Amino acid sequence: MVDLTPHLKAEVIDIRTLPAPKESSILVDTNIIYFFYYPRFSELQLLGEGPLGYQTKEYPRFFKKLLLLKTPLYVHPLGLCEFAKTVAIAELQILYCRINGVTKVDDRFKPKGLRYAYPSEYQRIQREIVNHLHSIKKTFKLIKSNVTIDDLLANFVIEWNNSFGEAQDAMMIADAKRENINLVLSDDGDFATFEDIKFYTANNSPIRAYQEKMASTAQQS
Amino acid sequence: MNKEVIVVTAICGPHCVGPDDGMALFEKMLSILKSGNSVCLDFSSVETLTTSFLNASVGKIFGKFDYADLEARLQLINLDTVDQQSVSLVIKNAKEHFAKNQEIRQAENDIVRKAHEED
Repeated sequence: MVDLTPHLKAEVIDIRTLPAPKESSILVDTNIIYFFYYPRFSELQLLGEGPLGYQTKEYPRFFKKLLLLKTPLYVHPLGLCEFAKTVAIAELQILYCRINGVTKVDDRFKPKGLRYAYPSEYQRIQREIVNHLHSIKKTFKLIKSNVTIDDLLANFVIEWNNSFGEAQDAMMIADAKRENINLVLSDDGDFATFEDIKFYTANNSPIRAYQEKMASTAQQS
Repeated sequence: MNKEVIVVTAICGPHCVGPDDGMALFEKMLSILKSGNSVCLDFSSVETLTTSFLNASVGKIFGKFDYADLEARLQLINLDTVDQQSVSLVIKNAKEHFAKNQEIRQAENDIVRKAHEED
């Protein structure tokens, strides 16, 4: 696990202990969408009798608070594409295991080959993902991302170079900031490394790092 | 056999998003179905419906009863086309889930979680 403490730039907010924001808009990251809208994510825990993990338990509680407060909820086009791609890969891996009678994917797994070899299965996967996207559309607004190459150079590159996040995270943050959205709900600790955002999470790693940083700052002063 | 209507918003409010609400609805459905009565879930005025919620409620009930019996005694009304599709998918997945052995269930769970973590 990466120690985020030396790289922290965001204000990290533990969604289990602090109230949900009411008036400010919030960008919801792909992983939260995946937890709520991809049915297989919660299948084992919710259909079985096993204990619920924090991702299955804490984010819906916080999300419901946001909905009741009518906090404007945003997703980024890249986030939706990432969601579609992640679900498609998971579904293709499950298909591969079923076809080959194995329980783990191996080096022979080639998503592109499966898409072409099993077109009806790929169409089923596409239909299901499109339906998930229609469900998402009911609750979320889309962040505008009509950027020019100059916008990219001016905003995205700054966010990317000043953080440890991946390129698509930097793009989402750059576009969100342009729309005056500075709050992010995510389970991805990388968001703690972006400047001038409030990062809402239930992920203990960035929460602990932030608490340590605050304690250290208080001691120094 | 009587039919009992459960107004989903009366139990979960307009936003049905997670396992807390899903399990509350599941317990209510289970109690009625165990008594031998039928259940009609009325989704009118529900504004947000996620598959996470549906797994914990409608999907989970398929692990407790014979499918043919359940399909005869469980009715869902006032769902739009998108939500109907979500319910159909959750029911299909639940039936497949309960037909699999534990090793396959765990393996698929690992795939789904790894896909997200690698993302």
